[in-house]
Amino acid sequence: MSIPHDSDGARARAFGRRGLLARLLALGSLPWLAVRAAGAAHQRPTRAFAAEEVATALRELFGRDDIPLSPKVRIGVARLAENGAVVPVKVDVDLPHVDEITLLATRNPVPLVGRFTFGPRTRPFVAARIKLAETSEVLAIARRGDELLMARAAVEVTVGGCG
Amino acid sequence: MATSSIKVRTQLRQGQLTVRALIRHPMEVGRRLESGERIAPRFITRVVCTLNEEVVLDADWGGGIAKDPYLSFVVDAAQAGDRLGISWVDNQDGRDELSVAI
Repeated sequence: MSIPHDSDGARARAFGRRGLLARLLALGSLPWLAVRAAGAAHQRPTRAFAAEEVATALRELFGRDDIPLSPKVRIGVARLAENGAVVPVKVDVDLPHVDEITLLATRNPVPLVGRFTFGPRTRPFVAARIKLAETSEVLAIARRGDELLMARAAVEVTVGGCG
Repeated sequence: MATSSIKVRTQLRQGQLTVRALIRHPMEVGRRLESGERIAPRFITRVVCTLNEEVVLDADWGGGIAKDPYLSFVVDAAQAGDRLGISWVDNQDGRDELSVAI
């Protein structure tokens, strides 16, 4: 849990203009069908992944950090996680469709865990396993167009898992 | 060729396809030390899932996804014989992909 914080920043810079361009070119020139099929519109939220604060990550992702809680977003996660290295999480949203679901862990050194962007016929549901560095909250944010809805769930971690 | 890093199970019920995928990957965030040296970060940054080449899930991941990632999602209007594709890329330009008929 004690990486110097500047390494994230350094990586973010390396991912910056030139790195990103090189990456896009590399992707475009290789026959990795699925990744290419996803199109050039997709952009990794590099700055959000570099953020060390939840509010900063939210502003990078959504342009705001005051996202309203909604009972329409449901997080399925155990209240007590013995092993923070592997914490199963599932999120579903009580809406016909959402554009994406984003997961954050409030006390992780890098709070942004992942962003899942859905196609038009993908149900507003995702399940994954995440790492929790320590006892914290898991945030799930569903985006449908400009509408943002959030749920939060507290998880007590016995053994931290950012190893 | 080595066995794929991706294992997938699918279940099709009344047109609703449930996908459960497991990817073998260290998801090393770069914070751990081994004999005093920091282990270099190596984690999957992106996973793209397609159904008949239509993107159904496009995920951006950080090192906060657990080792040997599990991913599950559900797609409507699927049919037997549809082709499911899953591909990943990591921050070290590692990559793999899998394509299966459901």
